[in-house]
Amino acid sequence: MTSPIEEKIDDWQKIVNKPVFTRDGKDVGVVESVQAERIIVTFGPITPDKYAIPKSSIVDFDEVGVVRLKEDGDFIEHHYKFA
Amino acid sequence: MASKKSMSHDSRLADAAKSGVTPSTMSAAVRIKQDYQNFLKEAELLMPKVDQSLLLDIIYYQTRYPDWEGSVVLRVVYPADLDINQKKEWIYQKYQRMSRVEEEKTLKFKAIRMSMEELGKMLDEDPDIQYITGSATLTPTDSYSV
Repeated sequence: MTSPIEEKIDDWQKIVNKPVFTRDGKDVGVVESVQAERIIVTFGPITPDKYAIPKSSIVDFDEVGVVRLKEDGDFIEHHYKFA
Repeated sequence: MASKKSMSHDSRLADAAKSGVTPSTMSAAVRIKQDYQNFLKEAELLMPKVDQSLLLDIIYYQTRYPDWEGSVVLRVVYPADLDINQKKEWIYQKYQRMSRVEEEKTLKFKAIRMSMEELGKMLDEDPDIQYITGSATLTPTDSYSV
């Protein structure tokens, strides 16, 4: 069974290099790669912060090319930041 | 619309002929690319928790250099709110390597003999693992530096 966002994003490669924002407007970074279950988002140029965010956290990929998450910044920081 | 399509196909063939690429080599290229895409999809289904670039690097080294020693810096990501020290101990028991904790949920360590088979075994033995990433290197480096 596919989630609504999986129906909306038919080609996941479209979101690579696109900015990611949390529900409360925090800039998480840009999508570096798309894995089977997660998107990998990085923030910062030299030693970037890295986040492995489940695809199910995405609520929208809007017409201006922004990926929006359903959780807020603190949640993302605590649960999905891995490096 | 159909004529436009056939025109563009014809012009592609003409371009191909000029550049010395025959239709048969073109279809071979298309088929190889298609097969590669299918291979990536299959790999994603079989090992969804593994970073695909890491997976491809390991496959490449393992197949291209049969005596590759499997030198890989691994980052194993666990869910938040899990006892990471217990996992650290598990990795030490299994690979005799001290790992470094990053962001309270990632264990980073340098493994050797980390083949595709070993990676699969690791995932089977520990269903708590959320995601594995890292980098494989062709030549061995300092065993303990990460």
